[in-house]
Order: sequence, then structure tokens, then C-alpha cells
Amino acid sequence: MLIRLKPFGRFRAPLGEEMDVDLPVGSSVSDLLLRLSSLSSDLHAQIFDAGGEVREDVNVMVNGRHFLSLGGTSTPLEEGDEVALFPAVVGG
Amino acid sequence: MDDRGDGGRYDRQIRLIGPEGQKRLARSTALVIGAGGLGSAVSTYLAVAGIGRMIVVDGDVVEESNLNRQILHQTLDIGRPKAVSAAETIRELNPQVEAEAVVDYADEDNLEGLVARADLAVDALDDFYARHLLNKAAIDAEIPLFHGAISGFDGQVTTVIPHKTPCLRCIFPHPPKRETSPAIGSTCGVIGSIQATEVIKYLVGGGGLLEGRLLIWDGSRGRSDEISIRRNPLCQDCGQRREI
Ligand SMILES: [Zn+2]
Repeated sequence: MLIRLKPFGRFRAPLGEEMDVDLPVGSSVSDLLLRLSSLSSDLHAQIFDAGGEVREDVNVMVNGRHFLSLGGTSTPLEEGDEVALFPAVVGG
Repeated sequence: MDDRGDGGRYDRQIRLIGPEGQKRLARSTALVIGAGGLGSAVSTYLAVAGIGRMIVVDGDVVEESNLNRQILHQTLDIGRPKAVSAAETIRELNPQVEAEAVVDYADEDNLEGLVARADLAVDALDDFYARHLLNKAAIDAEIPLFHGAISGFDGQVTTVIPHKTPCLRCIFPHPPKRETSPAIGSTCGVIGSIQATEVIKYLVGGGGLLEGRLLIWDGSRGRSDEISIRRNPLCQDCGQRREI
């Protein structure tokens, strides 16, 4: 199944503007992030912390909802889902 | 046309928003939480646009390292409370604006009273813990919240209309760790100016607000994009109350 990925901020340089990611049916947010992080060690370090958890400063939105308000990394993905990946911006 | 004896201060913008729009601005009170980089840009443009009253809340004092971006404060203000320095600058920019300084950090105890005195709240904070408190207070008082945040050349901005659009906690359910972000004044200028534009449009009507849309600014590439955002029906701040 194809997932539409839209990277922003620091994820633009390694991933480009927009891409389709082909994942097996039944994949989750975790599977998507692992697939992306397998592209380079730098990307892995930008997505996961040393303990293998998704970094606190990474936002993942599935069809307009933050993954932490859905099922976290086990949130199931479906064909055609739109996933935005962007860094947390907190300063003022 | 000009019945305020102000020499046509607002002449050029009345062409845009009309005399009625100008009166609406003059009748409105904006609560600006944070007198840092974003607070400086938002407050400057709301002040010169002729908003009636501004309440500026910040418990911090001006430091030299603030001066690359916090344009409400000048070298001579180092060591002074930011809220006081901000209110002074606002009055100097436009003596028709009533500016009130609250030298305190926004928290659980004071936010309810602050939002009750305002028509709208501007998020010019620098951490998400306080942002979530402000979000809850604005929703409970049913006033709009104009969110902005920056880090380096990056920024984001959206407008929260209680019980209509996603709130800040719908979008970002867990506060990320507090951190000292890299900051450059021009990014604060971009994001703060968009926030001020949203406030003005909200007050005078017309145009389309950033409702249900998170605008992402990537200054390093000169690009802006937006992410459609949706409400969380179980949001602890704006979700429907369950009848028992
Ligand atoms: Zn909400």
C-alpha cells in the first residue's frame, strides 16, 4: 500500500518534498519511521533517540492528527494516508 | 473622516479595513503572553494598527542576548522587566493604545483572570507547558488564541477558535521539552507579523483565517507550506464534555 509522506523543516533535505512510501498492508507508524530511518544513519538519529524511542522533538501527523493522540507508534496506516513529518518548533 | 485629531494616522489602512474596522480595532483588548521575539513583532504591529488596549505579560527581565530579536527593548532597557519595557515602547509607538504591563509569568493562578479581560490571546511564549495552560484558559473563556513558535529559520503559526478549530493540544498533545532554541529576529518578524495579521483579520472580519491549518515557515529555503490539522474528539482541553 502507498503512504503519502510530506516532510518539512530539517526532514526536507534528506527526504525531499513529498514521496510515496510503499509499505506492506497492516503497517504502522513505527514501520514507516523504521523504513525512513533505514535510509541513512543520520536520518535514524534525527528520528529515534539512543533508546530507540521516537525523539520528543519529532512530530508525526497522520491525516491531520498527531500520532501521540492516536495510537502512538502502533497507529495503523492505510492506503492513501497522508503523513506529515516535521520537527517541533518551541521558541518564541 | 478623521474625528480623532490624530492627523490621519490610520488613513492608509482605513482604505483596507474601513472606518468600522478601525473602530473595532480601537474597541478591542489583546492579551499578549510573552514579550520576547514573537511578542515584540506582534505587539509592534498591533500597536501601530491602533488596537485599543494591550495587556503584555512577562516575568522576565531584558538581557543583552535578547536584543538580536526582541525589538520592543533597547540597550538601555537591559535589567528592566520586559513587560514594563514593552508597554513603554507600545505607548511611544502609538499613544492612543492603552498598554498594561503584567510583570509575572503566565500560570495556572493568573491566566483565568487575564483571559477574562481580553477579546483574544496571542501566544508569544517559548515553551509548550505554558502554551498548554494558555490554550486551556483561552478555550474556557471562549476567546481565540493566535499561536506562533520559532526555532532558527523555522517557524509555525495557526489560529485556534475554541470548539471550532483544533486547539493547541489537539495538534500537539504532549509538551516537548523546554529548550533554548536558536533564534534570529527576522524569523520572529515573519511569524509575529502573520500572527498580527490573523488578529487584525479576526477583529475586522473578512479574509480567511488559519483555521484548521498549521502554516510551516522554512526560512532557510524561503518556503512556506501548510498541514491540514483536525480536532481530537477526546482532547482534554477542547473535547466534548461527556454527559453523566
Ligand atoms: Zn483540543
